[in-house]
Amino acid sequence: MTPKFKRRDVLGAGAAAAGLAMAGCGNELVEAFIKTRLAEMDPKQLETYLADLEAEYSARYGKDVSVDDTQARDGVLFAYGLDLDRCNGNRRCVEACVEENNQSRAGGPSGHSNPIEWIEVFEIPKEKGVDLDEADRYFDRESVPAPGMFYLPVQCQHCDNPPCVKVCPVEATWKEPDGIVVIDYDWCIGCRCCMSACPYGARHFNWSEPNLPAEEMNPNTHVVGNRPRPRGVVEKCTFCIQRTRQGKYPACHAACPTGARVFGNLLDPASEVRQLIERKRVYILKAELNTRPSFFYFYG
Amino acid sequence: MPNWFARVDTAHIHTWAAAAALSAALTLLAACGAQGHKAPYQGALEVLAAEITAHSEDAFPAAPPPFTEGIFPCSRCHGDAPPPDEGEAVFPHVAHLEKGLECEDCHEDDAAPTPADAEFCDECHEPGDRGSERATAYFAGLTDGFPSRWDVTVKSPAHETHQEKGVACAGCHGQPSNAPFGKPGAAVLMQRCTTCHAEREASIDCETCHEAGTEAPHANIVLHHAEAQRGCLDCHDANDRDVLHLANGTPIPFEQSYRLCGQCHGPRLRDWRLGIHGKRTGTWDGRKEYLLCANCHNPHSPRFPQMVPLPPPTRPKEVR
Repeated sequence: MTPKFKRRDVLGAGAAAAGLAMAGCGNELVEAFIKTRLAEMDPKQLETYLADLEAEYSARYGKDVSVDDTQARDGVLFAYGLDLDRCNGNRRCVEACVEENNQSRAGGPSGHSNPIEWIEVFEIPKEKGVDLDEADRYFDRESVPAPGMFYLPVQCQHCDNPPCVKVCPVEATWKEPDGIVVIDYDWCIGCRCCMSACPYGARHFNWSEPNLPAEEMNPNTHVVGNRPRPRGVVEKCTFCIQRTRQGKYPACHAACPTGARVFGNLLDPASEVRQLIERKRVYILKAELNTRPSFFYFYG
Repeated sequence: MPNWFARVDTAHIHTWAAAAALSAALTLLAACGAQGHKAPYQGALEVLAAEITAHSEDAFPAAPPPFTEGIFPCSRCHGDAPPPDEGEAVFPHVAHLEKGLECEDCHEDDAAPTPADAEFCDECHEPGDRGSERATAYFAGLTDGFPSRWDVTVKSPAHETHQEKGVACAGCHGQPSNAPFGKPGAAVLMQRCTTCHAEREASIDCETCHEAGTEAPHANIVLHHAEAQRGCLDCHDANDRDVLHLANGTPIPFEQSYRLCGQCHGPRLRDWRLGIHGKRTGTWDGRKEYLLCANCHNPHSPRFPQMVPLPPPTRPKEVR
């Protein structure tokens, strides 16, 4: 759907006034302000846009950064399974996720950057069952699993009926054909409506300039995936879109030392995740909200 | 309390699945064909290809099971000696016994039997003509000493004591063979010693035969795997320690240990084949790699070990 008017037209009509207002701004900022949204770019615009991003990131991080826009494949619908009997709360998935997806680290030049982790691992007493009121994500143990505890990692559930997408006032977030819910970081206005709509706490806000040391920056990025985010936008798990659209498993799956994670194409009858939902009892979080997650928990 | 967790009705998932199953299968097929690979464990690859039918046929374990350095091959201590390495000292005992020689003809001193000296050999053999490379190595060993293949040393008075008690050479060493030097057949299997000692009411304390402080073989193995009902030979083959065996006696190589585990852990084996249990690496749309049961679980003590977790996340109040 094309909007009735674009920002560029509006600005063109009011050029005199706008020009006066933006006199103090550099050309790059003006360009960024009047850019077309990702979903509406024609191929030529997209090519220029990606090349500009690559040049910007390569200069900023001092390495050859690629920003790709690999599209969803036909006949692919991603889903995830997690074995609560296997997960032992070792948090290796969290570490792998942060490193793969260029999340903001704690510290930084100011000393108080806002660290972001897309995966939250909850520790819950077994006697309480899956009760998030009893869950502790700040557990600090010498060794895991602790007696009488089980562990529940929660990340974006990539809902089939995503409340976060519904509430976005600027359509900066949407569900891709292969099931991945993504964000256009350049279109997000940072209103955080999606964060309050998400019942899983899966969305995170860059309160401060993200702290991403150049040597830790992962240069293989996707335009709606792990490319570096600016301050003031929301970000979330993308099933490692930059990896999974190339056939790889997500970083959390690859890092899990207990083999608790199952990932694959729901439409492929031989895939692990399809076999999982056909043969095991699987569970979803907060089913009463009708979000229809693509993330299934099970007891192996 | 809210209902956080609810059983999924998978009916709608089946509907999605049917829609594009065919095209997905074709995509998968194309992806599989495009990828080549080299299996580190060729034998296991073939087996898995035959065994696992639900998946792409190039599934294979990523690495052999983590055996402790020095344990392999088991036959080094158990059962027949491995074939001697090229150039390793061996002695053709069998040929000499067939000529009518007795043990004592060559190993003169009962208290400390030593190999025959070169002069004695020269009585029959042309001096200077030692024949094969191995025979030459044997004669070199007479002067330079032989390499020890054994970690466990038997105290030196053993021979004298046994001789006094009327135990013949073959009582411990068995019939002489052409085995590599220092390993007279399956002679020194300790079970043989302890059985005999028990029958004769001799001491079976470790220090009776072994120097104090000698590390026992398999000291690192703790059997904590239904140990009330299980012993070594339920899984390890008594006749060939380099293989395992199923309950019906079928020998299987270590690379197929999952068949052995699956005898008791049937549902787990089924899940593993489907990719629901156990870690998989590779790609979700093509070549997948499996880990064997023993890659993650120590077969003698299979409970997954405790791990040190990574630090907890930063609390908001610590960020300011």
